[in-house]
Amino acid sequence: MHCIESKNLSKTFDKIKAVHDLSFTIEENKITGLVGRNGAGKTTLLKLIAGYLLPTTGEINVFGRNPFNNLQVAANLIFIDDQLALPENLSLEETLAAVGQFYPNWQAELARALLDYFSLQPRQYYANLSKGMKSSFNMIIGIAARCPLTIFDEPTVGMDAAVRKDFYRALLKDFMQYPRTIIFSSHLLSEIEELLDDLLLIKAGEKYLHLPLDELRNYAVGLTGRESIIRKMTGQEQVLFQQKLGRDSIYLVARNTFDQQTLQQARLQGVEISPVATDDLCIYLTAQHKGGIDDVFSRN
Amino acid sequence: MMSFHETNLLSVTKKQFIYKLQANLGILISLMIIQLLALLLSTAGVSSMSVGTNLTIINLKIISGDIIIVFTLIWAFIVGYNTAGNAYRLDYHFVTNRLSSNLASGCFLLLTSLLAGITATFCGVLLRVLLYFWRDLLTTKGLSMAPALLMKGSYVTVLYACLLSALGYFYGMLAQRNKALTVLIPVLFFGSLFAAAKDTRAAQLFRQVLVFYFSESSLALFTLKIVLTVALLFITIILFTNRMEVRK
Repeated sequence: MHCIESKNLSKTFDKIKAVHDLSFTIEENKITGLVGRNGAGKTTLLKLIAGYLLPTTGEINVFGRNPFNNLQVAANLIFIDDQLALPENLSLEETLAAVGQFYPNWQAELARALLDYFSLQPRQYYANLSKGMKSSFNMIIGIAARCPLTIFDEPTVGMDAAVRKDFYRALLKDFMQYPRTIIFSSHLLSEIEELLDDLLLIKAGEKYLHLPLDELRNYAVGLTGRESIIRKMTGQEQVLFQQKLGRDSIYLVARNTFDQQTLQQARLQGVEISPVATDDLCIYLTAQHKGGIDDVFSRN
Repeated sequence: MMSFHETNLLSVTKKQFIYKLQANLGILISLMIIQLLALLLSTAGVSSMSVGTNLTIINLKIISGDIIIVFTLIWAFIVGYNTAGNAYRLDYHFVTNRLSSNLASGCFLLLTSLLAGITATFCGVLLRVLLYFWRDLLTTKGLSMAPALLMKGSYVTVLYACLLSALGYFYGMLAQRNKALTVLIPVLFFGSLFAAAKDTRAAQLFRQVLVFYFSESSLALFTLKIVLTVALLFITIILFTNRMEVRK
């Protein structure tokens, strides 16, 4: 069954198209990564899914229903971002108890254990936490709620690398015990790619790619070698990124539509063939210029 | 594997109400402070006059608990306004929809109005006790209060508190939807107060509105007027916020 179905979804703020003609489906019980540049429309899309915003045109269905102002959808969904507002007069443990009553699958013991593990004092107040600790606390709520649809919008803001790693692991462990649909938006694709089943890449409010992560890893290859040889083997439409390395050598990232023979031949001609890291690939795919920031400086 | 969990409006509203109570316990302290302040101000008297001949001067001071009631009603309005802001800011992070949020706010305001109305009336009793022991009284007229009258006083104050907090909530919700209304509504309100000082048609209408709510002698009719007004305010808010986007 589809958990989320979007058809030609658009959302416009003051004539700016935040989400434009987006159609996709997200299957149940998968972890989907939502990736895109700043301002690509990730948060807007997630808020449309959560039913906070009304689509300008198009349709969005969550659990087969329109999520906007829908109590049944709200009861099965949790949305965690760094804007979470909590009662100021409650301590962390009181907050957990107050929030927990909303969710039938709430894991009080797990929440308490995570609180302890991440060195958050139960008697502390949310307002006095550092940015990273606030994010940790929000994420504890997100995991312990065990909602059929869990949305994390940039949940790791301010966390240090060690805490982030622990959280990815905590999320994965809990997911394996109780599979559910999770959408995870993050700029740190290299860190979360181990978690993900699928990746949804959006660019300027439009869907650019939606595919399983295994396919993404083989989506492109990096070619390093003499420019003339590499140019000959790649068509213009294939090129995703290029960077001059010297007078006549080049590093070029191209769509992986080569057959084995072509690659073998290239290798014999001294071309180095390397896999492309998924986060680099996403940067190339969403870039406006094929030369990256170098384009700006090489204009003169 | 997670399964879809069906819920209903009543249970969500109940949870939301409890959540609101937990989040807003602090306002009870503000109620106590306001009423204590009003009590202290009341002991000074609401009006005084002096009558004198060459030989004697009589200073007449009238003391009443009205200030306590007025302060409490202002508090009720502010609580209504803040509840709207808090609902908009806090409610939509966890399970809610617009309707359940408004209903839970309504229940919360009903409870605060109940507390405010009763405590305000009993503060009036406390004032009388204080006066009896501390002041030289010319007359004890109105010093004692029949229990029935006390009950009636509480009841009426509770209803006024309900009206004021519903108005505050209404204003707060309008303000959430459109910031311009935060300025526009007070301007219109105070403008009409000034207009009421002159004898125009608008002024007469305004006075009629005041008479409608504040000069009703039948308790049953008064109850009906307040309940209908509050219901009307809430229905308007519910319809008004039904398509409202949140967490923008």
